[in-house]
Amino acid sequence: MKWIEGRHTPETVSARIAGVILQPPHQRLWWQLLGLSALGVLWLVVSIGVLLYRGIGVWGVNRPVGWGLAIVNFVWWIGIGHAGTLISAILLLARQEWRTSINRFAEAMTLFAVCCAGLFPLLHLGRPWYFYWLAPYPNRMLLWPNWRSPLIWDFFAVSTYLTVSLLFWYLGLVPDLAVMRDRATSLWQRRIYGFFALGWRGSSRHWSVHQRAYLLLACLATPLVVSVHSIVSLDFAAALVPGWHSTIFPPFFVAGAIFSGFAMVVTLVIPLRYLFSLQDFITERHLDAMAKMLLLTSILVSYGYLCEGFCAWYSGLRPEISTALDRFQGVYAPIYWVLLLGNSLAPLCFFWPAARRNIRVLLVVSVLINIGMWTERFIIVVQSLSHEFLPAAWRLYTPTIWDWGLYAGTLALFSFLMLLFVRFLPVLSISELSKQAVEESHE
Amino acid sequence: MSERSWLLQFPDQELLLEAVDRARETGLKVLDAYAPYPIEGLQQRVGGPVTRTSWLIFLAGLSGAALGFALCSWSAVWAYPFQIGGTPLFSWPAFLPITFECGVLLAALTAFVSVFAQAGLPRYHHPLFDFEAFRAASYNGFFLQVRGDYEAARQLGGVFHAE
Repeated sequence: MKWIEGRHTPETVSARIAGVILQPPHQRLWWQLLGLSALGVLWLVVSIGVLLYRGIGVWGVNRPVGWGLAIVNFVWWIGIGHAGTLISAILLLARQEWRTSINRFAEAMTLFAVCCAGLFPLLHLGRPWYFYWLAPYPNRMLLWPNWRSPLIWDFFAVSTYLTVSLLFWYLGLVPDLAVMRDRATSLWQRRIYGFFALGWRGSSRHWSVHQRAYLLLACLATPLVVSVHSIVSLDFAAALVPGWHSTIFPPFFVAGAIFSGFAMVVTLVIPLRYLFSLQDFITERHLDAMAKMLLLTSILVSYGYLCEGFCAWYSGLRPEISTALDRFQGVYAPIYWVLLLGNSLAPLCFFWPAARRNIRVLLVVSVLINIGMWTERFIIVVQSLSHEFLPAAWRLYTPTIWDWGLYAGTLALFSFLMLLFVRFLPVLSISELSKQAVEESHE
Repeated sequence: MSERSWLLQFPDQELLLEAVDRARETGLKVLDAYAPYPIEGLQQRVGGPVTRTSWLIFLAGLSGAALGFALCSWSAVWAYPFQIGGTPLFSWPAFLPITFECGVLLAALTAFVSVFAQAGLPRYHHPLFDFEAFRAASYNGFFLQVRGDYEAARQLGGVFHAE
């Protein structure tokens, strides 16, 4: 199977990808977008400042809905990150060659998404300046974290995930930074890329240790990525709240994470390949493969919804049944219908090959999935909590401007980091694509 | 003719691999080969050491996991015994997520560090970088570095760079 369009050699591959940085196209558009996201980041800073100054009361959280948008956004962002690791590690081990064209980009997406995600639990602490109490360290209060709490597992899982994703990404990046060093024309570019390329010479020794470690890191990242969202789901499943206390949660969350992450990759990759003329490397066949992944994970997630409903009915517990029915009939029902439309119904169009190759359909459906997955987290967090055991305790939650401000702010932070990434680092893996181009030219 | 090292440049991987084999037949000492992307089996053909760090990374993972588990057990049972939800102090199943994460973290760090330790990096400068032509090694050129007789090296073909 040929994944790269046209006739390419290592020379043309590197010229095209390095060209995105060295002779950047669409400079004006880039500056405009960067300015816009910088404003958004400013808004994020203001939202955090207001939160720190006035306290959690500025959010819409109440009793019983103690987890508002902050936790919704945390789960959503972390989930988006998962596709990057899936593409770079799991598809590498499964020898899916089409991953080569999108892995670098998706890994960057993972890093930035995890950074955005990490903000929320910290801010949610109430007194975020004591966040380091989560870390186990000898202290004069002689206190240690409660290891039986899924929240501390979260802290370990997310920080390990961020570290390992960063190592994996950087290890893959080193040979490409050497390409940038060698292709750059200005002295300062050569110096800076040269510094981060760490003296990479591409000797056979370098490659042999590099490839071995890369493969091993992929083997480590694979169970890690499954563990992270499983642990996130345990934040819910270990509690007794109706709608949360379910053994389906870990696999259901992992499938949902990969689903939302792939949707985000598709949403971002379509403008990227168009703006930087990378259609030779990210072909329609790549989009087709990603659409198939979306279809598969959509069906898995829909199975999760069915299972949730079935378990509620089969349990025979009134609170469980009442919560499940409230999703269809309660105040938050419109949000649940958006969820079903975006996550279960819309992706079904990918059964038709024509839809998988149609850019517009792909873009619309992937955005719908992004929205659908966000509403899924909203339903899980907010609807379940608002409809607790005792009807007397039921209460609704409405996000305030500062809830939305934080969410919009992290979206801006994400795009700000993404824009910097596409401007200064090779968006696709030059060495891996060169290898693939040579192999395909022999076929 | 004195023994010196020579740098040869080839346009693609086949010619490089062929030259590696011929260089060894003609009695030249193959020092190293350079390519823009990993070529399977190149390191074996060059005759360099193929180190296997898998066991080291495995051990690092095991000790990370052991440390994580020890931290949880020690602090929950001895340093800060505290009854939570009626569970026993040594409620080991709850310690497993952290055990796993610590194991993965230490193994991944070891894998990352081992690359640079084995490759002799980071290194800001290298004599090869003084060759303007060697800049192509990262994206276009396939280089072979041999030590030995001038005539024999010349025979290998490719673009010849003296060192």
